Amino acid sequence: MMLKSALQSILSALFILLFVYTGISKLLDHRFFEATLSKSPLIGSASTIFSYVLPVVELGIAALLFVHQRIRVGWYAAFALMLMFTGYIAYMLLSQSTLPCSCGGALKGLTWVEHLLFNAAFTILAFAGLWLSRYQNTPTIKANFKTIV
Amino acid sequence: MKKYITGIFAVVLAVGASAFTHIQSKPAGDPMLYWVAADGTDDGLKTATQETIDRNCTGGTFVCSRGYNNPQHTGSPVQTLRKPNQ
Repeated sequence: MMLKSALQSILSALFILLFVYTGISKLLDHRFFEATLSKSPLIGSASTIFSYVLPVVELGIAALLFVHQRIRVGWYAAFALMLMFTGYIAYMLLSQSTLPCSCGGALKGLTWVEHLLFNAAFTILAFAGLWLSRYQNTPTIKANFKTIV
Repeated sequence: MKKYITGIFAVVLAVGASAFTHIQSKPAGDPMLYWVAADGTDDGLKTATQETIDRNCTGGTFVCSRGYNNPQHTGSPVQTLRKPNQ
């Protein structure tokens, strides 16, 4: 039980670190991020909206993971976002003959393949966090239990 | 409070790291370097640091050009970097 709790703390801290870092990096380097998104065939003209929405979503998920009462929602969101990012990179690698050079912060140093592996690993970790939180005792669950009893 | 310690630590670390990498990525020396296409046409205003010039963004069979937002097809010549008004 203690090990599960410790693992969950470590995983949530890791994702908070990741999302806060990449979210803030994208906001600090907003012009570059938006320009890169505009090169994407999937995003193209919606790059301005995405360039604001994505970092805000990342920071929002970090906040959900920080607040223990909302951690399960945070894990669902983290898993969905990582799945989306991984799918996007996989699509770009499989379908595009030219690839823009871009990522957030220190992740700029990764190649597209490395970034795919990185995202895939974090998608698995997000699933692990979600799985570990399945017995998380939220106020909603407690209230429902009282009603049943 | 104890259960938030790791979260607070992660946030502080992330904020520090993103600020650090942002400062580090600022162009040193002459910040205004223009990319020029092989045919001499101006490819638009782009800024690049020596670090981004030196780094090859290689992903499998794809080769990213040096610098920001300048994708290239595999096998095509790397675009030349020159200072403005040269």
